Amino acid sequence: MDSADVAFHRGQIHGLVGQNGAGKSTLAKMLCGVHSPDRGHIEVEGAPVAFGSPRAALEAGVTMVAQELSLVPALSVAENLLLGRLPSHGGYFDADAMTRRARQLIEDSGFELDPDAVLGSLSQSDRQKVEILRAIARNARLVVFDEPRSSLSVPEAERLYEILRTLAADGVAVVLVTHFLAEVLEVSDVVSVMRDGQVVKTAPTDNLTGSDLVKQMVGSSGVEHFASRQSRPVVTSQPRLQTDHLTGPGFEDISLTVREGEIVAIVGLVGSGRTEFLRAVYGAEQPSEGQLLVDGVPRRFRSPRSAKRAGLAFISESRQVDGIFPALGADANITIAHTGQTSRFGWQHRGLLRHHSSEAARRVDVQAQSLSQPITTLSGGNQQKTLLARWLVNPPRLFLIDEPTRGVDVISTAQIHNVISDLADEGMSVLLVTSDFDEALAVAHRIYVFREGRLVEEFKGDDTDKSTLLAAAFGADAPTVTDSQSHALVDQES
Amino acid sequence: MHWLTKSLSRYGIVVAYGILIVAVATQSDRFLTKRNWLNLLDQAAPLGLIAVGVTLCIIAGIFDLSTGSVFALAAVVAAKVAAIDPWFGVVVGVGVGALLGLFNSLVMRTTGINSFIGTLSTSIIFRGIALLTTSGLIVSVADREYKTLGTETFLDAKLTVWVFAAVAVILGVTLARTTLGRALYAIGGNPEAARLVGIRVGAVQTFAYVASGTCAALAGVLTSSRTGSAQADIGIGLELSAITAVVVGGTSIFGGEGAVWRTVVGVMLLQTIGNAFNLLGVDPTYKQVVQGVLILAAVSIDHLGRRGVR
Repeated sequence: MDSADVAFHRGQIHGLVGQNGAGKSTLAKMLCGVHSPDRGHIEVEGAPVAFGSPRAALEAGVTMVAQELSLVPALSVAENLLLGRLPSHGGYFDADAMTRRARQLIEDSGFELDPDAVLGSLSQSDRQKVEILRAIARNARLVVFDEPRSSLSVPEAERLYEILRTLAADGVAVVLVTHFLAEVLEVSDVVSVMRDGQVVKTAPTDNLTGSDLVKQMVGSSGVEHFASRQSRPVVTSQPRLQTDHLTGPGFEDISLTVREGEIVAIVGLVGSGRTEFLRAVYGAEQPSEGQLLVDGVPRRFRSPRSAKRAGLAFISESRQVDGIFPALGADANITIAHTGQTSRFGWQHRGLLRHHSSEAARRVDVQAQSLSQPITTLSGGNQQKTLLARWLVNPPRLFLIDEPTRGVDVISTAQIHNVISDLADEGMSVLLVTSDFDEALAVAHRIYVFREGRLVEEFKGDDTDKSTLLAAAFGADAPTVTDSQSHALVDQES
Repeated sequence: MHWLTKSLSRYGIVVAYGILIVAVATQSDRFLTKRNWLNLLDQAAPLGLIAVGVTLCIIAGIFDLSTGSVFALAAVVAAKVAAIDPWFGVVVGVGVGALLGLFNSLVMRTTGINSFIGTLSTSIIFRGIALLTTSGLIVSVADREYKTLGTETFLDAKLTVWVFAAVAVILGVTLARTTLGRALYAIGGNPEAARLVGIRVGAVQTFAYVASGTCAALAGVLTSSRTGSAQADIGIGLELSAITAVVVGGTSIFGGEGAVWRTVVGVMLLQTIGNAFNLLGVDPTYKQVVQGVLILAAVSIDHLGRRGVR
């Protein structure tokens, strides 16, 4: 990050946007004492401060709701909420008082959480709620929210915005770091755009549009990436994947097909069984009933290895948890699924490794100084592209992708969509799961909607719109949702 | 300047070892002699063999705490069988180690228990079997040929040292250059991601257990060959010394990172500290305190070097 001048005011929600790698997270971490600035300074209410640690920032009233959650899985929700300031009497902590205070916090927020539940047993979105509540529990004067809605469903996100507004009304300065432009435009009072480590624009939200922000974010170059996609024609080839009444943990009676060269999206709310179904197709979980056919042949995959051998590939929804190998370089991360191709008689061949990793990286445009650098030094968008590249060393016939662009910047998202479309044009079948309805509409030929573990509806990609999909995902008595709420940035231009 | 900090970050432990060698050399004339180093290598070989095998386990995210017991059981079995034929005893002893490694792997894979507690349990079982086999007595081998491996020399160095060197090179190359090696790193770094990219996690872990068991058995057989005898209570605590050497060398205790050469440096560093005590005539009552401080200092130099880059 390089010289960022910006002021955050009490009682305001201040949006902070920019591509991955623009310096938003670095700025946020400096505010909260995680990183120290090399030059320049931070002032709180006019007085210069130097936070040597997150604790020092916390004492000055600055806290962050982090993108990578920082909670203790083995403790209860209540303990996590009040960690560091547990109520106590003479050194013994007071469990009843703790539960009471936690329950009060949860009730005030309107979230649904059990204070006694062990955090590790909760879903990703529930953990995020705990993280948000913890910041509130600390009575902070400035709260930085880093991508707070990345794993929240639409109504949960709506609750979150209300909380942000309440916080601001109470005189807290709220900083909202996000990829969702519509969210910023709707919720925030002021927006700052960051590009290449600098704050390039700060303006009241009223006079701004999504395309203004995008222009500022990408600068003079890169605008051509946002060319709107054409609606995709119907594919009438042989089915590559067919499931008949497939049932397993979290999903029931799923019958669907994916044809050769076809991109099919599964959409639905968090917890609708989408991920579980995808993992079962790949052999990562075992279905209990039903049948799975690949190219018309009934198959039963006992392990991901056997699915891979049948020409399937899979990218999981959480690249940090079960995607990347953090200790390995980007090149080793790319070739790890096909070590046979980079070796001769079991011996790793450096030339082959370099050749295959750079070829695959070029195809998805991984930005790295050198492919041998540790993958953890790459931005989120580039890590995600690396996962895509991993399977392009030896392209599969059926590509299963869970959340292809979660936490990925605008340009990388567009690039990933382009790669997926190109692969399909070459005959690969793609089955993707996404929480981003716009993503499904942008890339898929057909869209299946899952609700509560079942397949409830099927649409043609060019024959539906977001409100129809949302209604199907929520079921009959769904709350009415405004169109802008789940708008991803990439589609603002189209 | 950049390459300097970068190489310091990678070779911090080598720098630390270099400092130790220079420091001891200035204090003792006998330290930098061929005889002393041949002796040092010979003493380092058994621990070195075990540690090199354990390196594979730690990189793959496995703790093998049974190596000390495998060491003893293999030695006892080898010495017993040597009554029939000395070389047959050596082969059977090493084979027992491989089987014990396989047994460890089967236990972990079928029960799903953590390797730390699992191998701690099997180590007690193995030690018990060694006791049962010997009834607590010393097993002596009459045939002098049994002592060949432990006492004969080739090009001035003991055969034990050559065996250690050969195993270190074989496992080092396996880890650094083969597909199997890649899989070991991947499993240690992120086991679920490894499963999802189609790596046979169970089979690769079995390899690590078997390699570790074989190395520990080899160490035990070589040690018993040196004296021409074996008993059930040898090698107690060796499993922890081996893990210490691996970690001192700079291999991550959390798995996914490390190398065999690091372990070799770690083993040599520990042995050199012990050697320096003897040469300098340090009061044995201070030995452990100083040893602990030196290990901390060496690891700190390694650690600081790495942090400098990040």
